Amino acid sequence: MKYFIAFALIAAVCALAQAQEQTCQVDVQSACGQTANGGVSNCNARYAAIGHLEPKLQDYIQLQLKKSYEYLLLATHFNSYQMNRPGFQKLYQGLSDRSFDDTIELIKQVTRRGGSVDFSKAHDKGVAHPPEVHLNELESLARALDNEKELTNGAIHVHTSATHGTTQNREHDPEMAHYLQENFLSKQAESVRKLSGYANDLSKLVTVREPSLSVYLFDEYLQKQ
Amino acid sequence: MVKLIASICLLVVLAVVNQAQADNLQSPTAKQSSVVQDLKNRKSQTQDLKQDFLNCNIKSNAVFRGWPDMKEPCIKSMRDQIQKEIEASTQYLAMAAYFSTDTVNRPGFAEHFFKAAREEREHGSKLVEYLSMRGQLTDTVNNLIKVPSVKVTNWTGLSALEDAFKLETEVTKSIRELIKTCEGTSKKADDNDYHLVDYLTGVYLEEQLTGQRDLAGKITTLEKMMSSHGQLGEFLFDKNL
Repeated sequence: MKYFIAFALIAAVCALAQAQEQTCQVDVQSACGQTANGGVSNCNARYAAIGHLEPKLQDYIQLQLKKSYEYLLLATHFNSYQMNRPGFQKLYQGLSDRSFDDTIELIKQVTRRGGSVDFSKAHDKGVAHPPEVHLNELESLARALDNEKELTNGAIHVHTSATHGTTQNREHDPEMAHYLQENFLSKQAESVRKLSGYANDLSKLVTVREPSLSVYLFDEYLQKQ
Repeated sequence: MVKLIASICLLVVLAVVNQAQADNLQSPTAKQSSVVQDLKNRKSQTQDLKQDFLNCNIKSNAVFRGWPDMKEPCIKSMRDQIQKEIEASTQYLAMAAYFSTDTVNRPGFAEHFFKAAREEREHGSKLVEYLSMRGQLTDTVNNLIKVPSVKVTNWTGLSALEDAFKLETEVTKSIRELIKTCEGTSKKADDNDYHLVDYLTGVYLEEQLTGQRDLAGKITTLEKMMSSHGQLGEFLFDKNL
């Protein structure tokens, strides 16, 4: 019995010490005035589910960056004298700029939550290289719609992990979930809907034998958007 | 009599086949498959039937003699330069991400490098637009840009600015090489791409040189502040960046 109490006491003290060591204040107290201190590594902005969201957000950031350049190339394809579709170019240039801005916004969000973003590793998940950009007008809209859904699913994937903790880590992350809803999910819904509308409009327009004029007029319409 | 029955049977079979094909056309293809796949399916299905099909490809028969007129080595160097600008942009993105982290906490540096990343991307896409203007990039667009992985270290404010300066110096050097390539080698200057050379010299070199001067100024100021006041120097410099 004596041994058991001693053991329990030691375990309790250890657990307490463990719990205490996790805080910034303990770090600071033990580091202050010491020549060889362990630093203040617990003084960070990490809380909730950032641990398991961080790699998922890194993947999502890389996906956004790659899609940004894919859209840039798609815009370039329609800017060539042989395609010459300024409306389509404008559409895809806009999506490219948006994805680049989103990349930066996501970096800011990850680092706001105490995470970091590693650009030193090659990232090949989910994006083919070279991307498929030599497409006709309707195919390009289809491709863009698929892209937008992929980006939406990326946000949903992170959101799901933030709201439903996995088995290894049951922590929830309402802040991250809210951020994604506010800044990505509603915006993505808009752009998916818009591209779906374009794809259906144009596919009706090209059922005629000579679709050149239809596509020309559709491109003119896109320029005004 | 047998002949008549056989022919009726044949007609019925034909009608059924026809109906099945029409149904196939109307029924929406599996919802799970991607839209691209869906379109391709519809195209191939409908082309067999020769009715109501999507006419997606529009071909042009326009012919231009002697145009586009850019020279091959110059085009290749332009493409390399575009990739370099994108690499610089990604490098700055990595630096900005580093200075944004909570344990580094240098928001001034972070904003500076986010801005630099945007600028480099802009430089890259302006060169892309230039090539389009000159009649290039009609059929080899897809492998123009590859998103690179870049070098990441534990920068200090000073080392990051010095790395940025090195990077800008390299880009400047590479633009000079590009200009030389596009000036051509012919004595009669037949292959001198005057317009591109002027654009690169007037716009790009101008930006590079003023950018380098700006960085050099920042480096000396920060270096002076750090040599007398160490961490306080970097802290104050960051807040005023």
